[in-house]
Amino acid sequence: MKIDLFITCLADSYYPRTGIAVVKILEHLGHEVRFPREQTCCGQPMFNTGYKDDTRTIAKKMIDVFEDSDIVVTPSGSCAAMIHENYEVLFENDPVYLKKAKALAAKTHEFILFLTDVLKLNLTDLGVQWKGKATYHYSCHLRGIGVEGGGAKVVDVIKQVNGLEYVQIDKPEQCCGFGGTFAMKYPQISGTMVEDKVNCIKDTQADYVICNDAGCTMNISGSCQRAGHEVKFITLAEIIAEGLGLLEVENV
Amino acid sequence: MTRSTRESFLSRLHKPLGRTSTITNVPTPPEVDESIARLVQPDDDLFAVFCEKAAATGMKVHQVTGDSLYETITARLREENVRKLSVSMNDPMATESAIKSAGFELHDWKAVPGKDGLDAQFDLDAGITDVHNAIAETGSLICQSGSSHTRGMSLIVPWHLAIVKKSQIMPDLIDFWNDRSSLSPDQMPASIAIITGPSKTADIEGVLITGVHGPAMVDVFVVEDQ
Amino acid sequence: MSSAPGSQTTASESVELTMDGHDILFPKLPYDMKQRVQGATNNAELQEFVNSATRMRDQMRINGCKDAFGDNYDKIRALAGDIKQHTLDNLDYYIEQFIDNATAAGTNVHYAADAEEANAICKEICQKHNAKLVVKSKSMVTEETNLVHELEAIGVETIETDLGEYILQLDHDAPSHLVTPMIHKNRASVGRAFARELGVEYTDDPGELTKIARRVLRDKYRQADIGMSGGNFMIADSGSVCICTNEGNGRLCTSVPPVHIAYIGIEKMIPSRKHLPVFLKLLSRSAIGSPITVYNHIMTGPKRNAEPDGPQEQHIILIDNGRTEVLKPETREMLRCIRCGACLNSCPVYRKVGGHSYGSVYPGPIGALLTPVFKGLANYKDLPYASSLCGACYEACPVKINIPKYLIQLRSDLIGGKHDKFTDRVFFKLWSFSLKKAWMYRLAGKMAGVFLRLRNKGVKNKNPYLNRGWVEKVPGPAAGWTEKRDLVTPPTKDFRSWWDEHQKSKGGK
Repeated sequence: MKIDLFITCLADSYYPRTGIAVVKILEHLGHEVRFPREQTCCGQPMFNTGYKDDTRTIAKKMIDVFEDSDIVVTPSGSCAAMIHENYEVLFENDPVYLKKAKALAAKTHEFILFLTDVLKLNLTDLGVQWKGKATYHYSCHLRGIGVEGGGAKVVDVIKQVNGLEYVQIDKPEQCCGFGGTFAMKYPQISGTMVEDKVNCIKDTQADYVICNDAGCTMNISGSCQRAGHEVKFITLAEIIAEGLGLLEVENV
Repeated sequence: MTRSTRESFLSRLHKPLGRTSTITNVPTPPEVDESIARLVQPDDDLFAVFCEKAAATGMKVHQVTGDSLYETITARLREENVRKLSVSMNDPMATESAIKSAGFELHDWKAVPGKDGLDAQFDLDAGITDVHNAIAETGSLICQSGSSHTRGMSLIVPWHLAIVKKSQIMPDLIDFWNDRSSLSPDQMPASIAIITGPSKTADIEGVLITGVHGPAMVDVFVVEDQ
Repeated sequence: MSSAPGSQTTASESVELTMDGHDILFPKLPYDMKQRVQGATNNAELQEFVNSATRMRDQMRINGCKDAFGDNYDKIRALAGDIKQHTLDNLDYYIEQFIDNATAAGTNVHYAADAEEANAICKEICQKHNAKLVVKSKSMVTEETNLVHELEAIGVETIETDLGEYILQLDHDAPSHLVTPMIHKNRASVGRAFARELGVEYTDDPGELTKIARRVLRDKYRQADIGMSGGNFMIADSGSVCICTNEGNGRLCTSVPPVHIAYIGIEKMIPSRKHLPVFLKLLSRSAIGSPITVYNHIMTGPKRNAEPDGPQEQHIILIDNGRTEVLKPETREMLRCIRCGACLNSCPVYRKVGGHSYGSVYPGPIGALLTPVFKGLANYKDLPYASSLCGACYEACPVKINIPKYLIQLRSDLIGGKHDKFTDRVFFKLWSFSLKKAWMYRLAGKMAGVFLRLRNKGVKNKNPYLNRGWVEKVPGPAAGWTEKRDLVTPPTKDFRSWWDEHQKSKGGK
């Protein structure tokens, strides 16, 4: 099938290797991947801060860019949730774009869920082989895209990777404290939240934290760096790509 | 200050609801979908479910027969060194004479009427009542106020002993409220208490303590053959 | 945890030693949240306390609800939410029905537009009965109207009987949680307050402390002229009030004194008795995971003539106090709240800052919604932003209030009302503008990258897609970020560069 990639602004600039992994995996599976170059950002930072009018302009652009796409895949749960949950809210009074917003939401998938729910793939069957001791950060936006069972479902997928030693994190359901501008507006609260998360990561003694949302990664890895806790952050997409030999195993 | 009246108060509601007077056609509320809300089915073993759930709340459950009831109650009263207690004015299952003949001092409702009679409930060691219903789902006792049922006997005394007949056990809270929902306001008992366990608190550091204001102990005698 | 009196500063004292209970819930307006947040986040003991207690209760909620409802948990929350929404949509009808039925049962129904009117009605009833002593059970709406202080001011001794509230009253403190009001206090502070105020010997044993409270309060119930309560539910089709407590104090307050006054916010309505079980099943499970509260007391009118005990007179004061403002369509859903406290227990922010940081009667996520609407958005500008929008509250809410959605709506209202900082506005305008064209977006990203990499303290990777560095301190709007953590720099090449190379290499094949 023809799949259009929505890379998201954070992955584009900060975590390009995730996007590379996604493209390589999808092409390996025999799909045609396209990258509409006019795409920018889903508008989540503005929306969450309350700048609705500004967001509307950005959302319109997103909708237009992907209007002709059959399927849109994105490596970020939080950006997928923005399109799924909030675009409709923005166009409540604009029937033309409301219809388009709903159409975009219907065809937009977070990458891991796309593999499991749309392509119905199992990583073991796919032959994903990867060595490492890893824990997983349950992103809050799994709630936003309505993942039944939340993070536990992703953990099941992670456990399908041969050779991966999975360690469960304590307080998995607790937010890391990112919350976009929240981290800037309330550094004290956000800071104690992420310190809590870092301590839980330390307790796992894992070498890798699997984190599929770039915002959470920036926050938690930044806090680990400040605390002097050495641990590698990786997305499940990168693990799969490495595990299929599509990406070189590197020091992430 | 001019006081709000029924009319002025209602007009405050009309504005945000986008109208100028109260709707006249009766609204249809969502039905309670029992496939979602019902937790115990009528054909479940109500007796067993009730006993299990009631015990889980911290109540002591005794399965008795009409014959063993008195013996079980008096043994428990002796065990807890009860001196003075009361029995509901309707004398459930004719317990009064059994208690009296076992040598316990009984509160005389007729001798101390009115407020003093109410006040006297504070000085009793225990109170024995029947119930109006019991709920298997939660292990609850339903105690309604009435001419022969004080509120105090399941509330003020430190120990409440309740006699439940097996036939009084209803499956689910849904059944109880369906049953009571046709009563007009003046037919409704002034007080319906759904009691589920001894009085509890966890206010101080989350430490669970029983018997803070209401009875610290609740014994339930479930009579099987009645 | 136990310690001798005076040996250590307790969680609550170190935060709010200088305030009395009233100022905690009624701070100077506009309210500056950051100050109290600072105190709370620096208080490790408070955090440990609130954090562990809320996490425990949140887990108990999940276990209790999953055990009972299984896969229907979400459905019963939707059902309860629908029932409440329907009631609010038709609230005028149900309030009228309730008034008629309660009156038919012999209850005196009163109408209070605001706190002042509610308290005036209550004081009149007290004066009519020449009341000297009032015992009351826990009620958030009486906190809203500041009732206890007002009754005491006219010489009516008014005693909170919920154990937690009683302790807070003795210690001149204020509730910090909807269900477990003294979640921020430890046993030592209770012991000290009892020794000081009741003249008993110091103990910090929760069982002993409870016994002392029981002994003191039992006499108060007997002597009280009036018993007061709130109301968890009003039932329109019978004119009944239902109160739910675990301790039994609510039942005592409404059964022993000769007069009962109930303070109830108008949103507590449900249509019928048939709907009550849905809420009884959800309330306690959502609050603490137990199937049902120990005492559910459903009262319909005063005691009937032949009854030996019970109040001879019953008054219900229906209270608006800002609720009709929330009832407008844009915010109506917020009034579904049944005050179970599940959103507080599940909230990672509440766990860190505690209830007093919210500066009002209603703390936590639901408080961050209700308070700004009740008391003016401009007065509580900080509250809607004090959330990471993680959605845990929405998932926990038994009536499915979409709290994150409304927090964003309030933020948007603040911006619409020009309550945002000028610098924020400009920053977001520029950012949004740069997103209109991919080339501008990329240019802005590159510039930010260059700027950040100038401050970068070292890169460990040769791969241009992975050679990120770290910045310890940045100026401007992101300064808050580096207060608590390092900021990652982008690697030298972005995804677009790779895509171009990838296309070229494919084209070359």
